[in-house]
Amino acid sequence: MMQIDEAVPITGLGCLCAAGRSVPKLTETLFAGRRCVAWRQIRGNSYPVFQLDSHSVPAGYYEEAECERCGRLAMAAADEALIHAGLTGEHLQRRRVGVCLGTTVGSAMNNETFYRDFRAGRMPEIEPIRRYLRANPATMVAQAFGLTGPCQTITNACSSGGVAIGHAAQWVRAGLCDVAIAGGADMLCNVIHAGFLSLLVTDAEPCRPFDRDRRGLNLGEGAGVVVLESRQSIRQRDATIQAWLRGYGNASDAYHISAPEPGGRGLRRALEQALTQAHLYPKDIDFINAHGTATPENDRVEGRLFPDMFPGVPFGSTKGFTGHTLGAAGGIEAVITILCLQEKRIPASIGFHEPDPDFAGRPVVENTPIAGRYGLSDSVAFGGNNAALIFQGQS
Amino acid sequence: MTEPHPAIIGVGLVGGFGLGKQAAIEALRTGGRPNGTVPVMSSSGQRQLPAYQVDTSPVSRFVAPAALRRMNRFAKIAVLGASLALEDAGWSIPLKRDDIGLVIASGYGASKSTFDFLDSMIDGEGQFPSPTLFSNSVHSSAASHLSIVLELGGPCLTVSQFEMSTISALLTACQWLQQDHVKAVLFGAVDEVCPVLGYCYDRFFGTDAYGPMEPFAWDRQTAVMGEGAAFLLLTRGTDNSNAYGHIDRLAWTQNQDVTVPGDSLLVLGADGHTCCAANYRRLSETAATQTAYTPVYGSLPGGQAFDVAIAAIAAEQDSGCSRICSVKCDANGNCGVIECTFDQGRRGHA
Repeated sequence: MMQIDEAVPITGLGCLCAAGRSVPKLTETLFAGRRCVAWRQIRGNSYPVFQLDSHSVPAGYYEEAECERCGRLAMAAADEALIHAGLTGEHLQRRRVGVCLGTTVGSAMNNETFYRDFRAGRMPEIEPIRRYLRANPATMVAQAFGLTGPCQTITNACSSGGVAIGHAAQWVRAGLCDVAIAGGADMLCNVIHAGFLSLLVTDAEPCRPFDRDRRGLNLGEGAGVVVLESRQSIRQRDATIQAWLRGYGNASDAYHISAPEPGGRGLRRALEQALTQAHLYPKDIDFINAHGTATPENDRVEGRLFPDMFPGVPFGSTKGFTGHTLGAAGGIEAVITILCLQEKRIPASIGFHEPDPDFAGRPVVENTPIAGRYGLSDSVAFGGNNAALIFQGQS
Repeated sequence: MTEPHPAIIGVGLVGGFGLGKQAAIEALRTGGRPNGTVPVMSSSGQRQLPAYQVDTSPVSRFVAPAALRRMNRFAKIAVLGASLALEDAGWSIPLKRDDIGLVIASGYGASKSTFDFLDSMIDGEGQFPSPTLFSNSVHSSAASHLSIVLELGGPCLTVSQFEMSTISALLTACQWLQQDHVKAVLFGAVDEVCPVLGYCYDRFFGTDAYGPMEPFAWDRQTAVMGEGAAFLLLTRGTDNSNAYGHIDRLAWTQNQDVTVPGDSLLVLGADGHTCCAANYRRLSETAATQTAYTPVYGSLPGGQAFDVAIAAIAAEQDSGCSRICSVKCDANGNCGVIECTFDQGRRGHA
């Protein structure tokens, strides 16, 4: 068993989203500054989204019912991460492997066609329900790879992916499993999109995180997964460590069901917890991958908090490349944070043009070299749930 | 589980049996039965399916009307269960603390709000649906409302793993305590009944969805849908002289690997679903003493939390056992195992 504040090694990364169907493709897109925006019809209007193109979706994706596609995305990201980690089927069989994944759509029974028929008294077939009961993303991944360790689907809304990685690290530290597949997966869904439209927090143009003229978020889809592994397991198979999870924090605003606390009270505590667990000071952090959804409220909170807590530390949002992938965001952004540590640079915060006079924080406007070893990724969710992860690069 | 074992210092229960410990104990004495019905459209016309349903009106005892205005039914059920657990432990509301964790387990989440939101989409073709219903439709809505009402700024988690929700979430709650992330955890399982669930019961099980629940009738489908909340207030297992007892061991395992300690009462989560019956039957054949509390609260994914809570209050009233092994199985062969030791009659103020 490891100490409760011991760094947990990461041996594999997997990711697919609109910015790339694999970690190398994602890296290429980020540093090329390319946006892959698509347009989706919702209730007669066209909205920008960040969706996987038909060449990027995993096998069987379109054949699945909507809710099971989240699990398909998670399986594809897990597959890449396990290959990256060098974990074969034989390795997995000999180890206790847990799965901890965040999602929103993957746990929601919101099949519109079924429900319209139900409401109209047309007595729909219950196959959509059977599919929903098969669609739990963590279970789908565990079954796909024959894993029998602890299995947890976290539904903390938009912080789910980050929270999942933090909890999976606790499992590894506590010896509940030798290996944990952790991150998040979510997909575009018209019902969820209608919900965000109702909240008036979407932009009709490609999103502009931290920009003065930002109007809101664009939705995206994808999955981001890391493989966390005990030192003993790594020693046994002589594996390569890609990075370390050094710190994790999770705290609540206790303020509002859908809006962040304006002073960033809960986010600050989550960041402080992560720093404490990592035995680091704010000045030790070399860059921040912000939640940066491009909603006026979210970016104001982060844009004020970062210069106050982390003066001079460069930060940016990658939502301009990926869209807001909801429960997957924390997983995808954890992967991006680690790949930035490996690349020793962070991408320009695409969509940002004009500073907002309402806060001091300014995201990076060009690809920016970083010299240090510590990257921070934060997530903010409905109901005021905040998560922070600190990664250390493998120098 | 490493020492010290988490202590259970408060229990909050709400379900079809009513509100609070006495209502649950009374249902345990009488055997329990559904207290309501859900209308279901079937090929032979509208039918009324039995269900264990919560009366949420007492929530106003704990929460100001303004705070209730935007709260969905799912969250009200959670607030009732949580408030009762805190009251049971003698803790005043709001807590106003950042060192208490909140962990919610739910099989289906805020299902009624999800379908209410779909209603608002469908009814308002061309218009924006209700933002309040959307905010309330996410699985984490109960945890969010609870953190706001109780003024809890600590870590917060919602887990949705169907029948394994309770064991999965409780593993995390106990880790938080053992790793000293928090001083206490308010842990609860919450699920709600909705018309779509009733329709599914009718379509899946037909006339077998009428109960009564017979958890040991292995070959028959007897599940009756239920809703409610079961909350446990957990602390590190030191300096808790007024505790119900302790959680000794938690395990997520496969059915064939479950062994029931010889001195423990086996509390089976058998809730009348034949898809899981073979697993329960095998376990049943290995245990000297066994029971099932499911007829008290009905069939719901987070039912294992009810089993632990009911066992705790039964022990408190000297009508239960001092050691229990609660087992919940799913149709995939997974089992959640919770072993507890209770101090019978120790609290003495039931």
